[in-house]
Amino acid sequence: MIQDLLAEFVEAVNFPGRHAREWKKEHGGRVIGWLPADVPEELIHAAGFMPFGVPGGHSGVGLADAHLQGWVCSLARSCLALAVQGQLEFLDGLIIPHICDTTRMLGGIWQHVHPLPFMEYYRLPRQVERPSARRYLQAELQRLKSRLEEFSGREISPEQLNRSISLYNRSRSLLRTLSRLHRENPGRLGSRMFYDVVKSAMFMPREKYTGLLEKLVNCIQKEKMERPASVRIPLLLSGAVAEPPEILDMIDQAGGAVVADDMQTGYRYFAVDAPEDGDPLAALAVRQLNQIPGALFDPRNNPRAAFLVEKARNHGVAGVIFLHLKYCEPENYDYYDNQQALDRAGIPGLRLETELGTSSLEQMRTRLQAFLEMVEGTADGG
Amino acid sequence: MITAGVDVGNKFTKVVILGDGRVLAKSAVLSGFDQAAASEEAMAAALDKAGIGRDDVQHITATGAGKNEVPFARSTVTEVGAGARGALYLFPAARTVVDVGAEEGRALKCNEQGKIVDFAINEKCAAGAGSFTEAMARALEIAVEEMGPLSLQSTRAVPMNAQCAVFAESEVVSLIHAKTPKEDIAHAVHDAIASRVISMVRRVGLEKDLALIGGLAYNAGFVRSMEEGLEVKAQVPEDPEYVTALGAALVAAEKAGEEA
Repeated sequence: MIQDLLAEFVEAVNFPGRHAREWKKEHGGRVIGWLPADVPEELIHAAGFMPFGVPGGHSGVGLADAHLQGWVCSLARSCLALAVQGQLEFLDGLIIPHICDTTRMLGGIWQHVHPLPFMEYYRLPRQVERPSARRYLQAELQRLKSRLEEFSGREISPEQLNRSISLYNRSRSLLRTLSRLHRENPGRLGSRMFYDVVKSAMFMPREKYTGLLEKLVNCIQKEKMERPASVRIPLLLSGAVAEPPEILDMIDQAGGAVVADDMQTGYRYFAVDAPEDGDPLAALAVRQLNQIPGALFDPRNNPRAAFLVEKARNHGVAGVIFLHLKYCEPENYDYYDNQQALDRAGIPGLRLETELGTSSLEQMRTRLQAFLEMVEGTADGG
Repeated sequence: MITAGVDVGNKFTKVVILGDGRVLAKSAVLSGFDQAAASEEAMAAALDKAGIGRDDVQHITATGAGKNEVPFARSTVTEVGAGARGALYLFPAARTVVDVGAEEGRALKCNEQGKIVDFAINEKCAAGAGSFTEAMARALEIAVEEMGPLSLQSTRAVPMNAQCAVFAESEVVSLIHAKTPKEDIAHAVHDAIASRVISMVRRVGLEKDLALIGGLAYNAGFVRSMEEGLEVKAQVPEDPEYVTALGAALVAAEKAGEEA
């Protein structure tokens, strides 16, 4: 039963466009893509579209090089490469969040290379601690909502938006439960599988995903008592995305387990809910402003350093692995601060620089194994 | 108790056979394309030298880039762990170990217990590794073994800007055309590699003593550049190339002890 369920999640990750194509055929609806991170899928959903997280790919990344500079991160390049290769033919629109210099200019290039009927930016406030951030963000969400309404030809009622918020909150809450179960027995699913389950949310219609996830959580909860917890070296993964995913396999194979993270395709995706009472647009703004600290947003005192130390301690991890995409400036800027904070707390850290498509995995395996040899036996709990 | 360590490097496969803490034999063969065959060959040669059979060896631990390709190894350890282990066995006071082989350079920091507390490895680039010297020796039309002694004759530091083995080669060619003495060019090449390796050492933080291991430590010119760059005297073992295999043999002894 569990194996069948897991196979569905894995298939969604291995063939990201499959569900979107099927959904279009069945419902005759339109699919709106979004690039990571923090795009309010609830708004797309409430407008009657299927949100689709553009996942980045591992082949033909070089095809984007004709349009993007060499110092653009491989995540952005591989997303555009997917479009250039015709693998995103089911998309009717795309929302690109302003989270870094690359995403700020990507829309114009995308429009030029692969125009779509609906293309929008989502201009997030960077300095989230400013009093004006909330007012600004609410206005930006209102703008995005109006643009989606224009494209769909109908208004999004507060009730519809509240229903969408409630659905997304439900799936996030299930993911938090699954995350706790994974932490308690990380050998059950393994790191790769856990993050595949999280990631597949971005490619499936949310109703279907939530149903499958509920079944999975119930099954694992039931068998929990029967299976002994396996011994793994608990680790925290910090970075934008868990790419290339083989890294997670390597961690599993080397006897480690990722039990905590702050990634856009991990904890950041399901950590915070939107309030379900009151104005739904305000609720989406509150959710964004309550997000966990990340490199994309820039409050004055880099709260992420303290956040990482606290999370590492709470979950008793043996070490922190920084998974940085090459050329990801926001992550690189924060790294020094974050590593210093870990050093002061006596938590070992390893920084790995990765790329989608071209990482030399075996060198990375050596680093991971050496790091695990180094931290083995230093964890103070699971 | 007899144990062995097999270090399958990018260029050479090294074997060290250890009997009660004493090196009984060592051997090295080119790794080539078939690492399993190379490890068999190196093992056979070492057993032959030690005058013992495979059955006399209680535990064999593999390490190095091809550690998973050794069909007869009972366990594996990373080259990072094995390098530190071997270096601290030879130099108990070492706290920073620099290991530069053909394709990879590493800086390791250890504590009093010989446990690694931090490490840095060069990324996807040969400019901080032994192959760089080989390429430059080729450009200078001398044998790679001559690079070290030749560079020690240099009295002048020539700056080399290239950070990349391919660009550096064309820079060396330019220096040759500019009639720069070969010894000064060799000196510049070692300074360039050392500067890459030193940046890794600074990342983990230099703590004395410094031990240099790996094939490049045979090169006296590289050792001098490291010592000058870091302003410390380096400990260099007699056979730096075998230290990681020695470390693996020590790990094997520990595993055999656990099994007994």
